[in-house]
Amino acid sequence: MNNIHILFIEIILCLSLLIILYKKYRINGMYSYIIVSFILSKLMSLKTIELYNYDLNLGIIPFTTIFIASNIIVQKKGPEEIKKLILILLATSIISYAILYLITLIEPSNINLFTSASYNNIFIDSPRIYFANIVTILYTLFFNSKLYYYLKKEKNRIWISNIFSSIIIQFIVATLFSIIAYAITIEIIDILKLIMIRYIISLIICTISTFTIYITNNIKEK
Amino acid sequence: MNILIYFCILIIVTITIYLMRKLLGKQGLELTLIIVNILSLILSFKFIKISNFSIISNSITYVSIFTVIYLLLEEYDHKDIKKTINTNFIINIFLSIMLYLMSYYTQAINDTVGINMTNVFIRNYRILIAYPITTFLSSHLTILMYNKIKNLYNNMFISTTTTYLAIGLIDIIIYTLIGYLNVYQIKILIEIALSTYMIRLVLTVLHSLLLTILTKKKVKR
Repeated sequence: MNNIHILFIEIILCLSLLIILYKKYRINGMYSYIIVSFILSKLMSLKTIELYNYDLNLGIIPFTTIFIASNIIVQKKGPEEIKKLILILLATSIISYAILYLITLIEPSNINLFTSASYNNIFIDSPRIYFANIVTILYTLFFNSKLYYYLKKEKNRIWISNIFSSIIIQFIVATLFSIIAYAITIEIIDILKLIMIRYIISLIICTISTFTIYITNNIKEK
Repeated sequence: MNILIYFCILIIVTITIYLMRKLLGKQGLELTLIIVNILSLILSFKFIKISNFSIISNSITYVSIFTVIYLLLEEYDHKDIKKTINTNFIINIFLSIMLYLMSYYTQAINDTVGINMTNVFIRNYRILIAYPITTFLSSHLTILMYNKIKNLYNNMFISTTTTYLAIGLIDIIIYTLIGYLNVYQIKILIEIALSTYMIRLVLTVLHSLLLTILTKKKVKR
């Protein structure tokens, strides 16, 4: 099973969970999904994979689907709801990072020292990528909600709002993340390659995910 | 030093529960439940030493799951809480699959974290199975038992502690068996189970005091 196949399975899993959570719990389900994806993408982005000779941080799929979930919230409730979401995500990121980091400082038990050492290595070495993830999502989620809502008022077509807002916002996301995470540490050409591959994959995910916004839009309110 | 750091984590989690409840009410508690649940899963892979006890590092966040459930039981409808617990179960299964899949990606040449993730999540894949099952089971049993005890003794401290004494034991036995049987010796399994159970009992007592303060209704003069 190569990386593309696993990425595809990930897309199906993420979008399935998004639809299930919306169907069962509506807007609260979207909040839950966003928190799950946020923490998961922060953890996964610490690992880099190779895709057609391009290096790519994992976690891009749950990360991008956060924007889809926020678009669903804007579709139903408007852009003001996103401000509350951003504050919740900020609190979540501080709490989760604090707890995960503090645990690495505690002396591990003699039971399974190997796993404990590996566990510590995951969280200790990559605070910059963690930080890049948090700053990118908090900054761009706000602008995404405004742009999506503006396009919704102007054109009132879900596919136009989703795709055109994604074209602009995902480029900002890819650029911001790559610069914050890797500026100075890797070559400029590698940063540009990372921005390009992240942008292309995010656009593909956002385009595919348009149908989930249609599905959730057609689910009747209780 | 370990105890001090662990105490800091306890304070962070306790303040989170308090603030989320105060600022967002029921939604805050439900979101807190999801956050501590996710952190509990991620933390369940490491063993730490607290006063010569070897315990699973997720004890604080795991006890917080039940603290939030007790708060929800006190203030809201039980059907909604069962829905929240079912959501958590679906989320746990999703996370387990994603964490497992994550380790199967072929990492880049420059990547240094991938091998550590494989060591943690693939080598201990049984925890990815044990955690969702035990959390789901324990949460539902907690709702059943808490209500029954509350009908007998209308005292929050007694209800929460007694519920933990029974459910906590079932929970840790099932978790240890599914997660670690044939991985470690029986002597080590008993040590893990007993130590974690005892530390979680202490944490439950501490959280019960918090619960008593939070659910005290102010009397209007």
